[in-house]
Amino acid sequence: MEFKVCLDQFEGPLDLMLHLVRSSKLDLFELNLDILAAQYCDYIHQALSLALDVSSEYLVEFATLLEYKSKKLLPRPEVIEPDEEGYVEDPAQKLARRLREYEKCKAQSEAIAKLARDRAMKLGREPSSRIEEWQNTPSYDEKLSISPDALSKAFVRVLRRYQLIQPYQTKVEVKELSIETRMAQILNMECFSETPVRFERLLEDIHTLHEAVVTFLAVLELVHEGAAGVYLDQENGKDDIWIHQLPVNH
Amino acid sequence: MDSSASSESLKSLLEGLIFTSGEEGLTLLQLQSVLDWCERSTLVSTLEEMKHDCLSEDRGIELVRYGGCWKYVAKEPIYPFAQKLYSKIRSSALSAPAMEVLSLVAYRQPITRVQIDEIRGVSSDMMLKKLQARGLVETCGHLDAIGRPLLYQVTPAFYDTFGIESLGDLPEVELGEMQSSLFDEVEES
Repeated sequence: MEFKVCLDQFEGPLDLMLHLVRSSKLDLFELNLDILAAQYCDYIHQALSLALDVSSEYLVEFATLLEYKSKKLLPRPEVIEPDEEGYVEDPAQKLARRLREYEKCKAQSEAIAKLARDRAMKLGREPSSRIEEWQNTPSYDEKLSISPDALSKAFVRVLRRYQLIQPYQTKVEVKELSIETRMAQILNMECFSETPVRFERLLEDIHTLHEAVVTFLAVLELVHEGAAGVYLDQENGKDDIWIHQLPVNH
Repeated sequence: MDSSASSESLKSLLEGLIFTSGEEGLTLLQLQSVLDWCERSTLVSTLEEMKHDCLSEDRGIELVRYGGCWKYVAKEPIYPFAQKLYSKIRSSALSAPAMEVLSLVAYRQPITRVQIDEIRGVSSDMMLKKLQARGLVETCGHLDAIGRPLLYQVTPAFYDTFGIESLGDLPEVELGEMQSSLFDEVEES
């Protein structure tokens, strides 16, 4: 038995069962629940194995039918009440009744759908606003009649909206400038000679606080190594740091 | 007002009045409140006559009564031409699940949501809300049971949308014959 598994086309488990009943020509009045249960379970198994999203309503019926099938496997002592005689208990009849009820519902819904279609063919005198709306034919091949100015304004609006929609993207890059590199750079600077220069001169080629700090540390290191001399000029209220090169072999 | 109006002028009065009401239509009560010298039975018979006239005569409109409202509508052969004239002529049709829920309400009203769910085997909550939003279904009190669930029924707009006068006009669905014999059988056994 081959199924094309597609649950989307059914309105629910009852619709699916009804489809199975019809396609295997089962009698809704003498419902063979064994066949139906087997087919339904196969169908759901396939749907699940295809990793389809099987909604809970299908699974409820699935569980009920599985229970029915597993009960059939067990030997059952014949203790049927004399007057009830499986009338209440018989799941086949219960399901058949539900299916017939649902079938009726489907037939009725098709019947009223036809009524609605017929009725829709008879137009009333709609409110004039509605008529206007109807008459408003969108014509796409008409030439645009707007000024270039309006167009450019619209374009600016689009761009602005685009900017608003686009999250502002920025990258944080830390340029790892090491103290050693900076020391070498300072030693190579033209301004760094035996003539003292202000500390600020050494900061001319840098852009970030990080680099300024590194430069400062590099200067301290140079002083420590004896490659540079430094003095503070605090005359006349100034706070200038002067730096000059010391002869290396000193 | 000329209370000795002949049958002929009564027709024209009714025609004119109903024409003005447009899509909404007029109820018998509204018509009678203006034409107060007429018996209600006279109005009804005249309206029925007019309806018959429209159908038999070579005319493009017909007089209909949907859910108690009399109004003029264009006859069915007009539709394809109107479709060419107006680009967006129809509002969206109902989906199959919506139609199922609506048919359950129409054929079995008043009905609770749980009863609908039981018959359909799936939840109908959203569908009922959509139908309510479209004005086709309304609540009509509570069922006197545990939880006092809401009862649903169809609205006057339903009669118009489906072109019927009353719920009695809903088509019979023939599945019945075998069913009744089956139930007899079951009860006997």
